[in-house]
Amino acid sequence: MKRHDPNVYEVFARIAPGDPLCHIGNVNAPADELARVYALKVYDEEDWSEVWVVPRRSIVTERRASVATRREES
Amino acid sequence: MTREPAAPAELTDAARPALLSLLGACADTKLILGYHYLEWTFGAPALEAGIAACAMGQDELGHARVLHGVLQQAFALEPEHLVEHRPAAQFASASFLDKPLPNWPAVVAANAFVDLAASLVLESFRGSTFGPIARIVDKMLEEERHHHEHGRGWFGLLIRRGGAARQEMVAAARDALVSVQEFIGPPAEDAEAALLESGIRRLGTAEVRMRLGEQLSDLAEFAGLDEDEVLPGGSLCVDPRAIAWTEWGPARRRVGTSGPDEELLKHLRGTKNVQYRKA
Repeated sequence: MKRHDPNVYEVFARIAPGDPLCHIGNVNAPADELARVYALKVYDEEDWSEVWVVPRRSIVTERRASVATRREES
Repeated sequence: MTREPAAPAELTDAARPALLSLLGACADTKLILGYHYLEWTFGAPALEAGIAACAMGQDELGHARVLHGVLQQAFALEPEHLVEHRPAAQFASASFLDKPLPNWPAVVAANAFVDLAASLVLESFRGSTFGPIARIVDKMLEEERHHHEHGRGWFGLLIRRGGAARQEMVAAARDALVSVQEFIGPPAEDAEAALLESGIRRLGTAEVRMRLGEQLSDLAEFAGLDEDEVLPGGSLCVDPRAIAWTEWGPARRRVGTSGPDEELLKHLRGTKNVQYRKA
């Protein structure tokens, strides 16, 4: 899946109310409303209380080059 | 004062056949719909769509099983007889489901229209005075919410895509919508009063048809659909006056004598493997 594939949605879950969100996977969906249904069905076996479904294209990322370099060296 | 939901023995002679007609048709429709969804676990346009079809199929078979329990309790109908031994001509499932669904638009039509109609009929029993159905209907409808989102999402997508996808979606919708009207029933069903007066059913057929019309209008707007493209008259809702109700019967809630395909029933029942069932 490409970084900016418009059909990819990242799925985040909160196990118990108040817990931090954690990334549990992604789904491929041709529309927002289907992405939500697919996330619920695909990750139905996970023990979560809440899921967030986010189009990958909407996620803004930044990388810290110095940290990446340090990790590669160690 | 809230009345305690009625036990099966309290059903009046007038209410019994009307209740059996509606619950039997819902159970049969869910059984055959579940079969189709599960058949489309493979062959769907994407892995996720297959998983959703599989999950919806499990829901439908579960609902059919629960409804069979109600039919057993209220009418002494054995679930094994209902699933395994009835001829196709006794099934009351929506006729759109009679044959294998040939393509994804047909699956979407079953999902967006037939599944929706079954839910609207069940919704008419919400708060029923008849305990066995009152106790199960809310959970079924909660699970159905995701089915409707799925059908709506795909219907909108295929209509907006245009070209062959749109044409095939329109053709499938047209067939499904006629079948749905037959399933809901004629404008004036004789036995309806007995269910409504006793509070067993909270909404009559006219109200169910009106709610279906509202949902279809909303769906057409969501999809950006020119409704005339599906049916003449500018509505996705088939005019019930166009249906030959004289050929309709409450036992099967459809026009004519057709039934589910024999091969489909054999596959659903596992007829070829029946010899492995018992030691």
